[in-house]
This record gives sequence, structure tokens and C-alpha cells, in this order.
Amino acid sequence: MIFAWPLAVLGLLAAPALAALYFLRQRSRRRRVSSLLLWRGEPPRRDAGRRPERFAAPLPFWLELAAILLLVTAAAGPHLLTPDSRRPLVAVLDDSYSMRAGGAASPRAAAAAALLEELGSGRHSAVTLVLAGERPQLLSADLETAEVAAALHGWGAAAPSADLEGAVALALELAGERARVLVVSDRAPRAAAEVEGLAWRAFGRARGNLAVVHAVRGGADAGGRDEGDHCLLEIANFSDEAAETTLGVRYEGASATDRPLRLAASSTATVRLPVPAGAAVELELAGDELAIDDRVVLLPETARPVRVANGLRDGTLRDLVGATLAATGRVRTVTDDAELVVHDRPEAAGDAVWTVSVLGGAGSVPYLGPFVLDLGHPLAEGLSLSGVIWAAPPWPENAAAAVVSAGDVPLVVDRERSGARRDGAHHVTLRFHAALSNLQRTPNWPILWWNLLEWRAASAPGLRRHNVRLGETVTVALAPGDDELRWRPPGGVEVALPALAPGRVEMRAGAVGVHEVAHGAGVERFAVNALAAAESDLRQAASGRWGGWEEPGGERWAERPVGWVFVLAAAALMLAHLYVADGRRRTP
Amino acid sequence: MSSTYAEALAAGERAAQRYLLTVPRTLTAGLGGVRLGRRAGSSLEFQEYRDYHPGDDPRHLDWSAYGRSDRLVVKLFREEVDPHVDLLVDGSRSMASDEPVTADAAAGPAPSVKAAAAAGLAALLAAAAARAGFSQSAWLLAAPCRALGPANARPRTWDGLSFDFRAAPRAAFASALARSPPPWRRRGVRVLLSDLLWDEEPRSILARLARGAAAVVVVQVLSADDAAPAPHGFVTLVDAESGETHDLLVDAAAVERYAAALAEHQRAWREACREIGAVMATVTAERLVDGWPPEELAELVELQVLEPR
Repeated sequence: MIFAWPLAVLGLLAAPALAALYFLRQRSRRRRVSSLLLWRGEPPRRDAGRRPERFAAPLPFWLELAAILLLVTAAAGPHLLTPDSRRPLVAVLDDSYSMRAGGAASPRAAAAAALLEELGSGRHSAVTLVLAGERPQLLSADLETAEVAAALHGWGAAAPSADLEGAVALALELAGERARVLVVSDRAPRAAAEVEGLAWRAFGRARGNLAVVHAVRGGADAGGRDEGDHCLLEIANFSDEAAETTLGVRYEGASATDRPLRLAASSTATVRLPVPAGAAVELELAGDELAIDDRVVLLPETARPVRVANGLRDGTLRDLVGATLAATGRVRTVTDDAELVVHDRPEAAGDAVWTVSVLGGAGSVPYLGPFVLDLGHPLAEGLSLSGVIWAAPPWPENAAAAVVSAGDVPLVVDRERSGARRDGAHHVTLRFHAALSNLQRTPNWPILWWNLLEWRAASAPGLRRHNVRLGETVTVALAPGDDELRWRPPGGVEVALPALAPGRVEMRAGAVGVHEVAHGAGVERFAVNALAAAESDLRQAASGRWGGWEEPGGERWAERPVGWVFVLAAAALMLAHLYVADGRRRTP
Repeated sequence: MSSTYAEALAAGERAAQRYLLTVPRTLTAGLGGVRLGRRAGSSLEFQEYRDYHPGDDPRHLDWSAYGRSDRLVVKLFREEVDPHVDLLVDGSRSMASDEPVTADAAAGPAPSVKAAAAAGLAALLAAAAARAGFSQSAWLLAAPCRALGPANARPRTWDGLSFDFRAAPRAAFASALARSPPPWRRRGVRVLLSDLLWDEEPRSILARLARGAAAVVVVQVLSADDAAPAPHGFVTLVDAESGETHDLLVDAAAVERYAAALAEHQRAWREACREIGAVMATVTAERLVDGWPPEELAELVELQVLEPR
């Protein structure tokens, strides 16, 4: 037996203190009384000392002394060393949704049963569960084997992919030297599992599957190119045989219609469906082995146009910029109440108005490069200035926040004004002389303006997209003054999500279905669909065993805490003490 | 006289200045005395009439009144008595039980509050009796019983007080009274002062005490420790009479049981007193000697043994 806190033995000092108390209490005191007549009913006490030098300890003393010894022993943290062949187990659970294939006989169900059976062998002590989803995630740590069944409820198998390698690395790190790692999946390991202490078990079965692998919702744009509200689907046949199925289409508030489909072996069919404007659309393939990828919901993408005021005085430049903005389909040209002002003055249009100052003019110098881009800035996304001639007038002062520069000459500069972080308007200065440049004749020109509009639109409160793929990050911009939103996942309860980034809330689309978010600008919905072709392709599923655990060499001793035994014994002694003391009081 | 109790005797005498010993209703003897009794008697001093009750002496019927009113009435005359009181002080060791066990012999006998209270109360009763016209004698209950002093002597001159009678054998008191009874005055008032902590049947003692007495008064003198012992814990109790020891745990529960036993013991004594027409009072020594307060003697006043002046 070993002790975790040996210093608790100091508590034994209570024993001599107790003995001293009893001794002092029992010191012989002779009292002369008029008569023993009235005391004869009292039973003589063996422990009522006759002589001071003799310590006649009563039964309660021994009970209390024993209780002290037991409690001190318990406080010292006694651990019993017992031979133990058990080792901790870290189980890596494939959390991708292909584990759902087959319904009740899914790989997930088989893996869970196998895991519980393995735990029933008694070879494992503590159990740690690691979910292998898009990112490895620790589900539960140091569980007793009896707790694992309940913890497995958190294994939803709803991820669009499984980072099994990352999860195994995390498991090995958690496992330490002695632990065993068990991977349960529906796929075979990519390489032979030769890592010591790693066992891989797969429970999949290769089978064909029809799945929606791509689904988008389109419609009229702000530029007036109205293609009609429509859905575009890609339906894949992950099978070596041709397949026939039906696509059920149901609009929000309308009855469903079935559309027959025939897909060749290992092919993908594209389906374009006109849908009523503003209506949610639910599309579902006839049932097969994996249901999660058969059904998609597409909500209307209500992209609000950005109100732009084009105040450029140079006609050529104004037309150039106007045509570029109109080509994006995201702009509505206005003269008042603009969200974005484009003009050719160096100052901003107002404190709260996003402004683009296009400054050209005399003295402009064409630059061939090298161009330096701040690739972390929203304006620089997708820009490639190779071969671009960019003429710009000299920069009157040093610019620290250049998004694009030619050497040390700033060409595009962004300033966030008012020091505000969440609702601060930006002032972008574009130093550009069109007559000496070819920038406007390269793809970089529309990219630059598209980025600008996207950036401006993203700062408006609300969802940026209403249809996302499973596992994607959904961003909701908050209205000024808001610092949280309320989110209700499909079939779940509403929760409050705080803004961890300035002015926006990000959440992971972890569940298929229609989600609802409520924020200062209103209530919006977004649909999450399982559109992962790799997970829908079940032809790579396999079953088998790889790797294994070597039995531990040498004898190992396990430390079992046994302090509770001493506490229970002390409690029993104190109960006996109560009984004895009560008996003494009652004894006539 | 033991000088140990001289102060107590003197204090009792001083306290008696506030009291007179009264004549109990049962006293019938002493005709021709100088004190007027309370009962209807045969003196020549007419007191009053009252209706005849069966048992009244028919010689006292007023036949003239019967002839006039056809009612039987009895003529009451104030009784003249010459009363006497015999005081019997328990001389057993238990009366000095509160002396320290290890007394310093060189410093003389250690004072016992309980014995001093008994001696002082005897002196008080004797002095109150003398002031009320009683003749009095004081006796020490021991083996043999002996007089504390000459009859009618002032209590402070008593020299026979000692509390060393070992009443260890059972029925020692009854035996002492049987073998060497004091020469008590017949039809006198007899007062016993004792702690009564005897392992004897009260009736046997009271019967000997009441034989030939006009009235019997029993005064139980207890020390505070006798009346309400404190929970001492583990102690060895030593019997003051026999030296017998008893090891026991005196805790709150034991004290409660002791109190119940004492109450039962007192009840037995009072019941025995009631049967023979005696009265019984209890005083606590420590409270009594602490200035002889009237409230400590209130029970004796209530029993009409003492009468405040």
C-alpha cells in the first residue's frame, strides 16, 4: 500500500491528544458524599479510575482512537498496489457521414457495438474518445467503461469528412506510452497501421450510392440579368452500374412532384430546375443506403444590392467604373443615401460612408512592378498583377496601410475611419491614371471592384449566404450595437452566440437542415446540405482489422484508491460509538 | 463543646431573635402552663362557642345554650400549656460529609457547612423555643444518645456536638433510639434535625420519635451537593458513614437519576411523617448559613413551626 499524502500522518497527533483528554477526564477524584444510598442505582464503572496513575480507557476511547487512525489513514490517500494488465484505451471514431450508410446496420452501429464489446473484455481501464471529423475533436476523456455507452451518443457521424490521420496523431499524443489506440472507421487505413499500440478496425461495405453532390440556388441579379429563380443540382451515381431514380421536388407550401432520372454508371447528371421566386425548395432522391446526401434544401439567395453613387467627374473614368460596377450585378446606382461613394476627390464623402477616391491626374508615372499585395486584405483576394501597367501620381506622404503598392509607391490604400472597428466606414484611395495604364483591360480590374462590393456588402447586417455545405463556417454580420445573436439549429433549442470577432458571429454548419438566426436586423434562415462527394462515394468502404496491440511485458502494478474503505470503517465505528454512548446515558 | 460549631450556634441564636417557636395543633399536654395553646382547652379563660362535633368532650357542652336554642354548642376555653421541646440533632458522620477528605490535622477540624447549619438551626429552634416560653433540651443522636448541654441552657454553651457517629450498619438510628433513648419529656414537641440519608425505614424511626410526643417535626438538612450534585464525571464516591466507595460516572443523566431517587426518598419520609401526624421541612445548609435568610426558613414558618415576630 502506498500513500498519496503521507503528511496527513501528522493527524495521528490527535491520538495522544485524545488519550490526554481521557486521562485528564478520568483522573481519580474522590468525593465524599453523605451516603451512597441514592447512588446505589448507578452501575459501577470500570473506567472510573481509582488511581490517577492507571489509565483505564473506556470503550468509547478505543472507538474514537480507532476512528482517528482510520480517518488519518484515509486522509493520507492510501492506494493499494494490485497487479493490473489493463491499459487505457483511446478510441478514434470516424465521424464522417459515410458511417451512416446502411441505416440500422451502419458502420457506426457496428463500430459502436464492437467498441463496447472490446471494452467488455476488461482489458482497458480509462477510455478516451476522439472524434475524427473535419478536425480532430476530443469527445470524452478518462471514462469508466460503463460510461462509454452514454458518451457514444455524442458520436453523430455527421461530418462531411474525417481527418483520421490528424485524429490518430491526437490519440497517440493523448495515449502516452502505455495506452492503446483503436480506430473505428468504414475505410481501410491509407497505409498499413504499423504504429505500435494502434489497432484499426473498419466496418464499411462497398456499395453503390446516389447522391446530390452539388446544389446551388440562382436568380435575377441586381443588374437586371434575370435568368429566373432556379436551382442547379449535380447528382452523382457512385456505382459501377447505371441507376434509375426519381427526384422529388417540393416547394415551400406546395405539393411535391417527382422527376425521373437515369444515370449512367459512375456519372454525374446536372439538373436545372426553375423554381418559384422566394420559395424554399426541397429536393430529394429516392431512398438508398445513405439518406443524408439524398436530400437538399435550397433557400432563396436574397443578395441585397449595394447602393453606389458614382461621382467621378471625368467622363471616361466615370463610364469605365460605372460599366464595371454594373457588370457585377450587385449594384444599384443612386445619387442619395449611398452605401458606397466613388469620386475623384482625396477626402472621404462623409464619416459614415464608404468612399473610393480615384486619384489620377498630372505627374502620373506608369509602374510595371514589382507589385506588393497585402493578401490578407479583402480587396486583394484573387488579384494577380503580373503584366499590369499601373500608372499613378506621386504619393504625397508615407502610407502605412497600402493594399497594393509598386515598390514603395502606394497604389491602393485603405483607411478605416473614426477608429470604429465594427461599423467604421472605410476610405479606399485608388491611385490610378487610366490613360497610362492597362489595368482596366486586365481581369484584375473587375476583380478589384468585385472585391470592393463584396467587402461592402459583407459589412451589412445579416447572412452572407443562405445555402451552405455541411461543415462550412457561416458568418453573420451584426448590426451596430449588437454583440450576439440567437441561433436555432434544426430540431434543436435556441442558443445565444456571442460575437467573437468584431461585428460578426461565426458558426459551424454542423447539422443538415434549415437553421434560423435572429439578430438585430431580423430573423434569417440558412440551409445546410451534405454535399461531400468523397463521403457519398461508398465504393471505397471496407471492413477488416489492421494492426493490433502487443501484450504488455513485465508485471504492472495498478494503484487503487482504498481511502473510502477507511472512511466507511470510521463511520461504522462512530455509529458504534453513538450506540455505546447512548447506552451509557440510558443505563440507570 | 466543639469550638468548631460555636460560631454556628451563636449565629443560630442571633437568627432566632426574629422567630418564636409555635405550639403545634397536636399538642394537648402541659395543662397549668403559662402559655396559651391554640386548641380549645379547660382553662378558665372563655374563648368562644362553636358547634358540637362528634368526638368533642361532652363535658364542654353548653347545656344552657342548648336549652335556649336547641343547638348543641361547645364552650371553648383557651388552653393553657407548659410546652417543652426536645431537639434531636443527627450526630452521624454524614452530617459533616462536606469536610474535605484530606483535612489538615494541624489546622484542626475542617469546618463542615452542613454540620454548622444543623447546629445553628438547632440553636435557632432552641432559642426561639425559649423566647416562646418553651422549656427545651437538646440531644445528639448517636450511640448512645447524649445531651448537648443542660436543659434550658443557652445553645452557645452546648458542648456535646460532634458528628462522628458511624451509622454504617443498617437500622443504626432505630437501634440507637431503642437502646439509649433520650429522657424525653412526655407530651413534648420533638424536633429531629438530620439529612435523613439513612438506609432505614422511616416509619421505624418516626414511631420511636413520636412515642409519647405531642408533636414531631422533622427538619432535613441537606448540603447543596446532597440536594443537587454536579456532574463530576468519573469519580470515586466515598460514603461518609461507612467509607464504602463507588466508582461511577456522574454525568447529567446520572444526576437526573439521583434527583429522582432523592425525591422518592423524601416522598417516603413525608408520607411516613403524614401517617404519624408529623411535619417535615427541608433546608439547604449553604443557603441557610449564608445570613440565615427568611426564605430558607419559610417552610418552617409555613408549617407553623416558627412564627416570625
